Amino acid sequence: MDPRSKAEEDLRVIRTLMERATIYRAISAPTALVAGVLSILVTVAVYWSNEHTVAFGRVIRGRQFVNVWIAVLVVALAANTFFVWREARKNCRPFVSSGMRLALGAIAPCLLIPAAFTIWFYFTGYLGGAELELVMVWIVFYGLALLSTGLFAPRSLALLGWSFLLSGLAVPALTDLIQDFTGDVPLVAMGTTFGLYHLVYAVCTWPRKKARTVDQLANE
Amino acid sequence: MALLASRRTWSFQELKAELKMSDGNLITHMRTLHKQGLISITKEFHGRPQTTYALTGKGRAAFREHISALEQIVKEWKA
Repeated sequence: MDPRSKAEEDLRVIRTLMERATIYRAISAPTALVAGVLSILVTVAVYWSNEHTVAFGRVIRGRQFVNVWIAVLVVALAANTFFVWREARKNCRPFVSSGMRLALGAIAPCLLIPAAFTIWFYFTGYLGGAELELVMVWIVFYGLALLSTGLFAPRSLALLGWSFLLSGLAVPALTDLIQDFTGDVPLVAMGTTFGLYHLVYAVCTWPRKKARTVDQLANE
Repeated sequence: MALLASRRTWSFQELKAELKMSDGNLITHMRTLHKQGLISITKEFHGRPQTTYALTGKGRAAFREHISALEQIVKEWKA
């Protein structure tokens, strides 16, 4: 390889490594914490509401079920947007970086089917009580979306992706068991995956605050 | 700087292994970068003392400018 091409290739590699390192900030522990806590709260609230038919005078099913979880998604996305914006501002970086575009390009295909399925459910599927199928699609494809970032995301994100994927695939086998214990398989599946898994992820990946920088040590 | 830009943090031992530098040589470079405000140094204790390094916002911006300048030079060189 001639020196010019080698120099160009070296710079290309460096730039690629730089961009990949910044992608992780898009999926952060604080976002996972917000999503996890919110999902668990919603699961508990809906479960309690269904037991006492508080919220609409009837069980939350069909479109109401979708509306509730879309609201959780919107809040989690808003939180993620805020955290990414705050970090970009702190590090003097653009909010929409080429790294973010790369990440969105990777996960977008995995979100098309759940989006289409949700639209179908909203207009037709709710009539057939297909909440369980809808939830399985959400869980499985969310897992696939996380796994699609495997080339540039940390291992913890891949583990989270596998957890979602395998859990989604296991739901049909565990339906009878969950039904016997809780009576609401779709709700429990959502609370366990989007709630508990995100909480565990947040706890395991939360940045440690104990470390002190050399500047702080020098001032003591 | 390229190594530090590729990951959030690097420990002293990891940098030393990648760069194949002596302890003194690496520490000198790190101190110089730290003095210019381009990197942060964090000392922790996990059974034994561990020092980790990370680019600061200023360091990341400076390195990005540096890479852009080099890319421009290579582009003009090829033309």
